[in-house]
Amino acid sequence: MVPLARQRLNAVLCAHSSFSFGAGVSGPTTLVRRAAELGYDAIALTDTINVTGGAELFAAAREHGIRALIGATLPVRIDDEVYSLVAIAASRSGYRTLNELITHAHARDERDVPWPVLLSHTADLIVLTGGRGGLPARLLAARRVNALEERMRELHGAFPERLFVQLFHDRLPWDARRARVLRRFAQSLALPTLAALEVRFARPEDYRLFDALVCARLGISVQEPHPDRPRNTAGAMAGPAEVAERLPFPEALQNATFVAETAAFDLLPERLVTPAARIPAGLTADQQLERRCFEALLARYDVSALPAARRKLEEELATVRALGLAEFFLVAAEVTDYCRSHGILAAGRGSAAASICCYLLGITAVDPVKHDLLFERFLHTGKATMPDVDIDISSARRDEVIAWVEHRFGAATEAMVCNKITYRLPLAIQDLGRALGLPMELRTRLSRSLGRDFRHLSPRRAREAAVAFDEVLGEAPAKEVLIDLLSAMEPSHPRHLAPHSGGVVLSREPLTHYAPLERSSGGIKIVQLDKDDAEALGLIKLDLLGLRMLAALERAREEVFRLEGTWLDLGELPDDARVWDLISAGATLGLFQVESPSQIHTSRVMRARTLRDLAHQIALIRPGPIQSGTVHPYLRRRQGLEPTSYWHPSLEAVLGKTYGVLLFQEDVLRIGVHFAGMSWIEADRFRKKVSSFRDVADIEPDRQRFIEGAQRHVGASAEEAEQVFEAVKSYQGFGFAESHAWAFAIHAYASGWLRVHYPAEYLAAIMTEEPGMWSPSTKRHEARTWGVPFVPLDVNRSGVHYRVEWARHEGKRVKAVRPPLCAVKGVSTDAARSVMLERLRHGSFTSVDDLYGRAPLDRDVLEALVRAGALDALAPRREALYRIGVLTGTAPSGERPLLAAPTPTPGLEPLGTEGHLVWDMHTTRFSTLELHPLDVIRDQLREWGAISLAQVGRRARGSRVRTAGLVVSRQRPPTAKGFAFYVIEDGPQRAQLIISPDLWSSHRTLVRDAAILVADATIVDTGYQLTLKAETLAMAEGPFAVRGYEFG
Amino acid sequence: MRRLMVPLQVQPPRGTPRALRWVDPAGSTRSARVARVLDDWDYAGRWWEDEVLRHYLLLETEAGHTLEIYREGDAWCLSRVSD
Repeated sequence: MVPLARQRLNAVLCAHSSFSFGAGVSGPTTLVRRAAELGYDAIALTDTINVTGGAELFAAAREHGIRALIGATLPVRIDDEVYSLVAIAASRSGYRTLNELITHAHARDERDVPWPVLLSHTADLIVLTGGRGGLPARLLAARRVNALEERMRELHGAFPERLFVQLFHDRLPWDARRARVLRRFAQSLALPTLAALEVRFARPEDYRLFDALVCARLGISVQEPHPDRPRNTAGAMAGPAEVAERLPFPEALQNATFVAETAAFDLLPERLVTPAARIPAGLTADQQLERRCFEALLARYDVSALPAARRKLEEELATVRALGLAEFFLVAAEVTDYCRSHGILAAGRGSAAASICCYLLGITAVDPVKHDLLFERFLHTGKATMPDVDIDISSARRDEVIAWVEHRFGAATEAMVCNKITYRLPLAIQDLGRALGLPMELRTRLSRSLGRDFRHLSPRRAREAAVAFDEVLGEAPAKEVLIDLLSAMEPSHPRHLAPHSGGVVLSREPLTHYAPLERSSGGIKIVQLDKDDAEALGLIKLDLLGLRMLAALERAREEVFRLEGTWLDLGELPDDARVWDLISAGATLGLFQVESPSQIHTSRVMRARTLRDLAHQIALIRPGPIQSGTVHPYLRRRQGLEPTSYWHPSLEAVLGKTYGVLLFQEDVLRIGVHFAGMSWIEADRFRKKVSSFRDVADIEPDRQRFIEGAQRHVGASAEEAEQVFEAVKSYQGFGFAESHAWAFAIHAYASGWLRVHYPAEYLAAIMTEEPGMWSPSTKRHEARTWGVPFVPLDVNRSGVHYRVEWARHEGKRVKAVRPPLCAVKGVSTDAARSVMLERLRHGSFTSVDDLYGRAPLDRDVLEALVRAGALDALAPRREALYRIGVLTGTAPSGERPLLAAPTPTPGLEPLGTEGHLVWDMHTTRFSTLELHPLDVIRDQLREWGAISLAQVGRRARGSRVRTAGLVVSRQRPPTAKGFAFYVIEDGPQRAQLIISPDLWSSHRTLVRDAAILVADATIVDTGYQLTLKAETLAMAEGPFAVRGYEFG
Repeated sequence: MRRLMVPLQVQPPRGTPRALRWVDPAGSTRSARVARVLDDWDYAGRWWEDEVLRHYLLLETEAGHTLEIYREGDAWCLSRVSD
């Protein structure tokens, strides 16, 4: 017999990570690191019915020099009982079997695997019988030995040589005896045993957080006992010696080592796998791609541009051939072909817009030759990661496209990727606060009190929000416990999976080869991989993103066609000086990408006259250019206020278009190659690192290489190279690819063109689709400056969407916008359609009784319509509400009562204009009245000496004023060094209010809670958008608040 | 088993106990020699009220009694005895 000391355990075989969602604390990387520290050679991740941590596990294991195994804990159903069982993939084929089992479980409401299903999915799986919740432990405890023997024989038959009776020891009473009994039982059936403690967290000190998370998952407080709760720290990863002490059974330890050595395979592949494109018989994918591109080349380029275009195409095709990605392009083209042939607005964006192949295939609308875009940002030989192809699709019809993709590629080979939703402070407070027994009201107050300062923090940084905790919890003992728990969470602790906004993975073989599938709570089929994992596993991803602006453009085009009979080709709109005048004036509210307060300000300085200008403007106000100090030099140089200069003469070729500053991602890439002498691969890595590094120390090792490279490559001095490195280093956070900016500039111009030529149709479209940042109420007041009136909501005229109709306004026949019935909260599309159809069948409604008798609507819906004013033409609102109450007692709606309800309506006081406004706002978030909420308290504001924003606009810059406004936007971007930018509104006038960091901290609660702000301020800028610098702040009470845009 | 919850002196203070000494509720000093350890386990307690982990032992004395004792930090406690 081998001495126990030599039976060294070398593997952790049952590790649960935080991807067990409420049943594990540590991330896969932490577990791997801990396993390596304890001297293990291998670790198996066995999360509960998912393998989401797999890609991270394998990458971390590679880094720490240990082997990774992937498995899962499966809840297996036998009759009415559910038992835990652990399955570990012995090979790639076993991994697929495991994924099929998990997919099966997720397809069932019970989320478990029926026993017969388990017995029919056995290929290359190693099965451990589970710990305390497993079949042997539970049936032995219940003294059902015969039943257990029968089940174990069935299992052994299904998994011969691959079934192990799992021995466990959780440091609970009689666990040592339990392990001995289990061992004896296994010996009686000649089954091998295996020593595997269930790991739930990396270190003993994680126990408290684990218990709290378990309580949160179970929906109980820590005061309540529950069998699933841990009772001690035994879930921490134990070292090999401790495991051997708890389970002193040599053969069980040896078997754990044996499994770890036989089951290892690498989940991360060496190459990418493209899905199967439709290719005519007799052609290869490369030939088909070349055929399509060359056909389009002749149609798209005239003779003068043809040679350059051909050269670029041939270079790209060579790269695509070398990487074996022809089918990737053809598949993306199939999607945009489908959209085009079905009248769905769709356009590729991102770095793909720099590809002439994408342009010629119709995936993008940007000509990369004309605009000199850099293909290498998208693809280059040596690129080991999948290129991004993002396709923006009209949000109103994206589901249609996704349904087609599923049909085209097959249900088994297509799914959305998921997002790993990680805890932020508010959500963690909700979950852990509930576990600590904090009442919901207190948790909600605490979450709200975090405000803009702290709500974006990861739970780990809870102590930074101490002021909010003090405000709500005072000296309550739970406060410190809660903060301690939050501080113990890992920075990216996942809470659940949710569908990605648009990432679809397409595979050549069933997706279960890569990961399990499940349905989200909204019914969307998702694969248990996020976009990075999908790429790591070699899958191709297409981002099919719903873009509301495309839906708005599509809808505006249809309105124009309905009213004017003109079908607009939005891709070929003429260049129009009036559009550029509008943008230059900063009158850009409602336009794509240039409607934010900072973009409005930039519009007036930039005075764009071309698409290139617009692309630059769109890219300029982003974290990357802001951090690297690009904005002011760019604008000053563009205005001729300072000369363009370069850090080094060689950079003129790279930064000539952008006045010598860093604007686009490509600029960093080009500097890496043309200035620092990097290869495209090195430069691509460098760019990624620059955009995402968190600690300066991470980027410092690159400094010397960069400087030496620049000295060698272009003969730059150390000082010059240092200066360029510093500029590049500060280009942190998100920046636009130039190709992406061009793609967006085209949509932005189209939105401006429609705003100028068809304002009513465009307004109706953006009210319906709600792109951008502004609330319906703000857009409604903006419409006053567009000269587009609203006509009232009307049960006899309104439909499902905002529509344009001819109306008399101030003595003229003009186009006006009619709100839809669906604009009313609580009125569904179906309910609105039923009203419309009844109107079409039997004519207009003549009274409240008539509507009630003909339209089958719930009382809630009818009352919401009345409150919103949809029945104003039939009866005053209070009377109509009373009448509905009477009628609901006589017959169901949609049926005429046999006898007319005789109750007369008592004389009710009319609602009044202010009442109408308040009811409108509460039901539809805006009012067709021209009255603004501030008008309701105008007298009070006058008493305080606050003048209207219209009056402020007539004062000179530098004047000091006291004014007020409804808060409609709150921004405090991380790049703004503590400054906050609020937008206050007073009728059609708006002002950006700059709040200094000092003022912010002294008014933290006020700026968080105020619906109407009263400010003493200095006028910084006038014009379309006022800019005010706040000096003192107060709040006023109004009839309601607007839930406007929030950022930061 | 009868609940006692009285402080306990253990020899040796670390490792497997061999001899125990305590004062019972009536004020009499009692002692016992440990024949064998029947079981041991851990209980983490109400951590949210700052309780710390207890290591429990179930012992059989040479006199044939069963005692449940625990260690909390450096302190020992006799929690239950067989009637």
